Amino acid sequence: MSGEHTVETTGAGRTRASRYSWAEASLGAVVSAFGLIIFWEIAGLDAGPTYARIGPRVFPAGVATGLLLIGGGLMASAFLRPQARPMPDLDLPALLWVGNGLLAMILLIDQAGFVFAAAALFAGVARAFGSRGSIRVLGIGLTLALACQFGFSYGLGVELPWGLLSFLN
Amino acid sequence: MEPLYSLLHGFSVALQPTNLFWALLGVTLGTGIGVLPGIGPALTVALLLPVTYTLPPESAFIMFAGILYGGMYGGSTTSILLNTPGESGSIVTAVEGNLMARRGRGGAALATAAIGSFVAGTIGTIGLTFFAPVMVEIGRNFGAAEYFALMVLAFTTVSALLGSSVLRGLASLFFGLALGLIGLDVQTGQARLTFGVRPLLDGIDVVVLAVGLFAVGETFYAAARNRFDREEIVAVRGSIWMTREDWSRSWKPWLRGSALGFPLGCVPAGGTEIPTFLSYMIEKRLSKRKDEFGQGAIEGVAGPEAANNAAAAGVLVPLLSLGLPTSSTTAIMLVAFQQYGLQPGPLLFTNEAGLVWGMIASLYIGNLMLLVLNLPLIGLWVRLLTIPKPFLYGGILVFASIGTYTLNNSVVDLILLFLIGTAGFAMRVLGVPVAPAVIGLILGPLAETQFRRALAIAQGDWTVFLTSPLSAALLAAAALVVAAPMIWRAAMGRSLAANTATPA
Repeated sequence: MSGEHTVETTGAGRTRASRYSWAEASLGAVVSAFGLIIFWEIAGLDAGPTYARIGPRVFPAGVATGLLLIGGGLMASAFLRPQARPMPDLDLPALLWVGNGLLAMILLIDQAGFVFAAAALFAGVARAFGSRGSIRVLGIGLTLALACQFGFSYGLGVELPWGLLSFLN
Repeated sequence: MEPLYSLLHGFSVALQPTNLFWALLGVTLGTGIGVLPGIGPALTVALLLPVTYTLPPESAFIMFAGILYGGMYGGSTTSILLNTPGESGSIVTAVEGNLMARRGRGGAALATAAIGSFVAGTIGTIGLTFFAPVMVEIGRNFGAAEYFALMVLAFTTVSALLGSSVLRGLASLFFGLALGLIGLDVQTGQARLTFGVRPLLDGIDVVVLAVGLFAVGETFYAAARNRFDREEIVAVRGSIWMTREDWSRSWKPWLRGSALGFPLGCVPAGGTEIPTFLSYMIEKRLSKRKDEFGQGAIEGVAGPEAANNAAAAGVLVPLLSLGLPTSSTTAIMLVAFQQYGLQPGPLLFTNEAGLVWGMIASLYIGNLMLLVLNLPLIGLWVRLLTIPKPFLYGGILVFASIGTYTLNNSVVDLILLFLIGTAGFAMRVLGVPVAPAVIGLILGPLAETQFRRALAIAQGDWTVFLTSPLSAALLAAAALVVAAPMIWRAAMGRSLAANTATPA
C-alpha cells in the first residue's frame, strides 16, 4: 500500500511514467529472450525412444512458447498503455553497497573464510541502510559472524569454511 | 467420526515432549519472523530445510506448521505498530490497525488481531481436520491427466491473482517454470538448459531461488527505498484487554473472516492475501460505522486478521491431501516432504498417518501457544521492531548466505543467489510478484511428469486432457481465470478511454 502505486499527475510524474514504460518494455524483451534461449537450447536434444512418445523437448517448447507470448504481450502493453504506473524512486548508491557486500562474500568465503566474508557482507548492507559508525558496525558484524561460525559447526554440525581462522578449529 | 479417531492419534504424537518443544520453537520463530519486516515464513522454512533433514519428519513438519501459523500472528503486530505490513497477509491490517494505534487504541487492535487469529486458526484447523479426509477421497480418483490439469489451474490462479497484472504474474510463473527445466531430464537422462555448467546438472535448488527472491531481492529493494519511506513505531497505548464494545464489534468479523478465509485457502487462490482484502471490503460494507473505516475501525482489523489465519489452515488442505501447494510457503513445505522421500497426497494419509495427524493436532496446540505469546507477551515482540535496519538486513543476508552456501559448500550457489536476488529486485520494482516463480520452479517438474505420464498412458493422444470431464473442467477454469481479468480490463479500459476522451 505504499505510494508508488498511485499515478502521479505532475510534470515529474509524466517523465517517470515514460521511464516506466521503457522498463516494462525491457521486461518484455528479457522474457522473450528467455523463450528464445530455451528453443535454441532444446534443439539439440535427442527425442528419446519412440515408445515414450513425449520426448524431453515438448514441455520446454511449451514453456518457451509461453515466454514468447508473455514477452510480446508486455512489450505491446508498454506502448499501448504507457502511463500505467510510475517508477518508484530508487537510491542507487544504497543498491551498490548491498551489491558490494554480496560480492565481498563471494570473493572472500573460500580463501579468507566465512567470518571475514560475513563481516564484510554485514558492513556493506549496514552501509546501504545509512550506517556510518564503521568500527562499531564491523564489530557487530564480526561478533555475529564468529557466533555463526562456532554455533553452526559445533551446534548444528554444519561446516562453514574457516579460512584464515583455521587455527581456531 | 473417523477423523476424530485419527485426530486423537495425532494428539498422542503432538503431545510428546519433544514434539511440544518443536511446536513451541516453530510458533516462536514464526511470530518473530512475522514481526520482522523483510522476512516471512516461506524464506524461513527454506533456510531451515538444510538443517532439518536430521530431524524425524514429524518434528520437522510440526515446526514448519508452527512457523506458518506464527507468521500470521506476528505479521499483524508489525502492521499495527509500524505502518509497514509484516507479512503479505497483513497488508490490510497495516491500514486500519495502524490508524487505531495512532489514535491510542493500539492495545485493542493487537488484542482483536490475536484473539481473532486464535478463533479463526482454531476454526480453520477444525475445517482442515474434517475436510482434508474428504479431499483425500476425491484425490483417489485423480489420474495423471487430472493432476496435470489441477496444476495448470493452480498456476493460472496464482499468476492471475497476485501482482499488478495478469501478464506480470504469468511472466513470474514462466520464469519459475523455465528455471525448473534446468538439469537432467528425468526420462531420458539428458542435460537440459545447463549451458555446459556442471553444477547446473542438479538443477536450481529451491532454497537458492526462494532465498534469492525473498531475502536478497527484498534487501535490495528495502535499501533502495530506505531514504524515501518513512517508518515510525507507534508505542502500544490503551489496554490490551478489549472493552465490551470491542468484543461485540469483533466477534462477527472474526467468524465472517474465518468463513471466508478457510475455503479461499483451500482452493488455489494464492494463499492468504486475497481473503484479507475480501474480508476488509465485506466488513466495510456491513459496518454500521462506515465513517470509522479509514480512521481506525476495529472491524477492519478483526475480519482480515481472522481471514488470513483461517486461510493459512486452508492452504494445508490441498498440500496434504493432493500434494498441491498454492502459496510459496506450502510450495517449500512440499520440497521438505520430497527431502524426506514422502509424497503428499492420498497415500500420505494412510502410510504416514502419525505424521499427518500429528501435524494437524499440533496446530490446535500451536494456536493456544500463539495466543499466549502474542497477547500477554506482546511487549517482547514489540522490542524486535526496534532493531535498527542496518543490523536487521545485514543479519538477514548473513543467514541467507549461510543457508545458500551450505547446500553444496559451493560458491556457485552464492553467485546464483546474487543473480536471482538482482532479478528479484527488478521484479519488485516492476510490480512482478515473486511467489508464482517459486511455485513454478517446484510444481513445474511435477507437472511435466504428470503431463508425459498422461500422454504415455493415452498412447500419445492429446485429447486425453479433454475427454476426462474433470480434467476438462479444471482446464476450462484455468483458461477462464487468465482470460476473464484481461477481457474485463480491456472493457474497462475502453469505457475509461471513452469517458476521459471528452473532457480532454
